[in-house]
Amino acid sequence: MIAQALADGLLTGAIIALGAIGVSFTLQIMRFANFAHSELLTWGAYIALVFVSFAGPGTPTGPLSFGWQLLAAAAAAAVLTGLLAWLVDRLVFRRLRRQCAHPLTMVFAAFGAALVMRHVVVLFWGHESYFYTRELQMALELLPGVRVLPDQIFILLLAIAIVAALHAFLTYSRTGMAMRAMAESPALAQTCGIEVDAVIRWTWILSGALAALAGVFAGLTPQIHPEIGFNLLLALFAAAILGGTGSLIGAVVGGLLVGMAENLALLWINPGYKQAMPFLLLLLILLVRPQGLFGGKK
Amino acid sequence: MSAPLLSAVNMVAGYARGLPILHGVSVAVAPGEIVTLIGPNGAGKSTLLKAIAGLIETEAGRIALGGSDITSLPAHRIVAAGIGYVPQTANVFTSLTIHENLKVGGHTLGAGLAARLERAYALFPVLAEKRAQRARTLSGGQRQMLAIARALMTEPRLVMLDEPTAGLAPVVVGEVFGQLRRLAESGVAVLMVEQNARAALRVSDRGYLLVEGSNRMQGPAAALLADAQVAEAFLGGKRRQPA
Repeated sequence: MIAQALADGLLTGAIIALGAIGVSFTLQIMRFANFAHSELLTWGAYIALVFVSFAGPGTPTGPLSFGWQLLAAAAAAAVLTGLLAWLVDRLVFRRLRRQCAHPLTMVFAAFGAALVMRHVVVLFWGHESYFYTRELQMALELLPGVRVLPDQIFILLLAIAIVAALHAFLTYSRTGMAMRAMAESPALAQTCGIEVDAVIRWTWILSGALAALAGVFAGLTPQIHPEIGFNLLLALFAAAILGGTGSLIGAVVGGLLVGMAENLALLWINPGYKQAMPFLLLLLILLVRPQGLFGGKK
Repeated sequence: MSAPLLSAVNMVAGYARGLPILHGVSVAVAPGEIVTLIGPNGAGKSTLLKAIAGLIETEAGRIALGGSDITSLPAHRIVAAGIGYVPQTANVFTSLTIHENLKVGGHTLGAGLAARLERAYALFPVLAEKRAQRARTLSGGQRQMLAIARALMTEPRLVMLDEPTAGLAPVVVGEVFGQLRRLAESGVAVLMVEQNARAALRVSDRGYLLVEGSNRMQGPAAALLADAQVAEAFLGGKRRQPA
C-alpha cells in the first residue's frame, strides 16, 4: 500500500515539479507570487488538445497510449505557452514593474490575470472534460503490489530528462547564469551588463514552456478540464516554497516531496480532504522551514 | 588635468523623483587618474556613483564618457560603454562560484571571455585557487578582490568603487589601494568614495569634497590632505604630523 502510494506520489510529484519551477522562477527572479501560473498549465493542456484534435494522438507506440503526434503537440504547446506567458507579462506585469509596483499589487494583478485566462478557456472549450486519447492501458506490475501505467513511467522519465536539461542550462549557459545572477541581485546583475528585460523574457518563456508540459502530462493522466491547473495551484506553491530560495530548481525536489506526501496522506485521510492536503503541507513548511530546503537563514 | 574621460555636470538625482539628493554636483576624471569623493554622510557620494552607473535616474545634468553622452542610458548599456562599478555592499553574487562571478562580469563579452578570465586570475592569483568555490566562502578582502576583478572583466575605461576598503583589515586596505594604483598606471580612470578618506587621498591624484549634494571644494589630493579646514571637518581630527 505504502509503496503504491509512493509510486503514485512520484508520478504526480513529477508533474507538480515541472509546474513549480516556473512559480519558483517568478518568486526568485521577478520577486512576486504569480497566482496566474496555474493557468499556464491549463492553457498548455488545451493548446496541445487543439493540435491533437487535428493530428490525432497518434497510433499507440509500444505500451504507450499515444504516438509521436502527442509529443509534437506537447512541444508546440510548450512553445506557444511560453509566448503566452511572455504576452501576459507584456500586457500586465511589465507595466506594473515599470511603475515599481508593490509585490502585493503584482499578486492581485496575477489573480486578475488568472481569472481572465481561466474563463477564456471556458469560453472556448466549455466546462466538459476532454481526453487526448481514449486508448485503454494495462497497468504494469513493477513490484509486487505496485502497479503503474506505462504512460506514467514515460512521463516520469521525460520529466527527469527535462529537469536535467534545465539544470545544465542554468549551470552552464550565459542566459542561465544571468538568471541566477538576477535571482540574487537585479541591481548587481545590471552592473554586470545584464539586460534585465531580456532575462525576464527568457524566464517567462521557460516558465510557460515547463508549465505547458506539466499541463499536458496532467491532462494525459487522465483528462483535461478548465480547472486542471487551478487544482494544482496550492501544490505548485507548496513545492516552490519547499524548494525555497537559494536554488532555482529546488522546486523539483519540493514537487516530488509534495506529490508523495499528498498520496501518502490519503492512506490515512478521507480522500474527500485531498484538496486540503497541499494547503496543510504549505502551512507545515512555513512553520518548520520557511526558508525552504535549499535556502540559507536570512 | 588632461582632457577628462568622464565628466558629470550639474547632476541632479535621488532615489525618488522630485526629492533629489544631488543638487547640481559636477565631477571629472581623466584617464589614469584616481579621484576620491569625500564628504560627510548624506553628502550624495554614493548617489553620484549610482547615477553615473545608471542605477538611479538622472533628473537633470549631463554625463559624458570619452565625449559621448551616456546620461540616460540604462545600466547595462553603461557597462558596455566602458564603466565598471563596484557597489559598497552585495558586490559579488554569493550563490555563484568565483568563476561564475567573473563570467557574469564578462556577460557582455563575446569570444574574448576566456582571455579576460585568464587575465583576471593572473591579476588576482588568490581567486584562481578558489575558482570553484562559492563566493560566500570568501573572506572580506578576497570578496573585495573578486568584486574588483568582476568589474574589470569588461576592461572598462573608468572604474567606480563605493567604499572599497570598508570593513577590511589594515593590511588588506593597503593591498586594495595598491591594486587601484596599478590600475590607474595602466591608464584606467578610477573614481571612488571612501570613508577612510585620509588613506584614500594618499593614493589619489585629486579629490572632491561634497557637502549636502553640492561641490564644496576640489583640488589635488595633497592639497585637500593639507587643508586644515578639510582635515578638521572631514578627515577625522587634526592632520597628523608626517612621521
